Amino acid sequence: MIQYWVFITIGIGTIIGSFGAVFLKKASDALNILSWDIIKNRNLIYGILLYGISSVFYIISLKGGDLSIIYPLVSISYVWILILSKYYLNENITTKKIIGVMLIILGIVVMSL
Amino acid sequence: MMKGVKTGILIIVISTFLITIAQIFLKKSMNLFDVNNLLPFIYFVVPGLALYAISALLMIISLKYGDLSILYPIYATSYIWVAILSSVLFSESLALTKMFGIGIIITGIILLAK
Repeated sequence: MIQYWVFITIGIGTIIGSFGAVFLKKASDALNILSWDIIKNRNLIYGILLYGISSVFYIISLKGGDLSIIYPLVSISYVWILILSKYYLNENITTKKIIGVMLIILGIVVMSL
Repeated sequence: MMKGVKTGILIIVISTFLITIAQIFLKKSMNLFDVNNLLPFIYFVVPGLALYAISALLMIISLKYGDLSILYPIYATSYIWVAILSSVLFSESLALTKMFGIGIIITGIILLAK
């Protein structure tokens, strides 16, 4: 049903993807619809790059497990994002956020049953 | 920020909806790929890629409206769209566990939005 190495590739892939999201957030703060400078924005480039790399890990993982298992596993990203956003974006970790994320992960797992 | 988190959430929900549609177009385009007649393939792959790009753009724009730790999990709505669209496309009713799961996800999203 699932090979053990998938947990490692998903773990690495989601962490990389979460860092990518942090860069995209930084890029969005500089976003101005009327300006094309966004394309030269370093954060945007790093964000897209990291997101692309995480997608490769995701595709590799699919070789080792069913989509119905991998899909929920990827939701661990929401936990990484909570942690990374605190340290790199100074976003507070509130009880509401923790419970909200837990509920979303629970819902995703239930949907895959 | 101009408006609040709720605008950001709305944009992400739209973005996830568009990316689900995009995936359907792309999958269909793959099925229609024929070296001798590329038109059907092109007919589906172009909108698919366009929707993909628009969805990605909306996602980045949405991040302006609030915390990443609040907005990013809203991506979970893609799970909901996939389930709903699958049941519509295959004319099957949504399984109880799926409905349950959707309810739990939405509860989580509401909590994050407050």
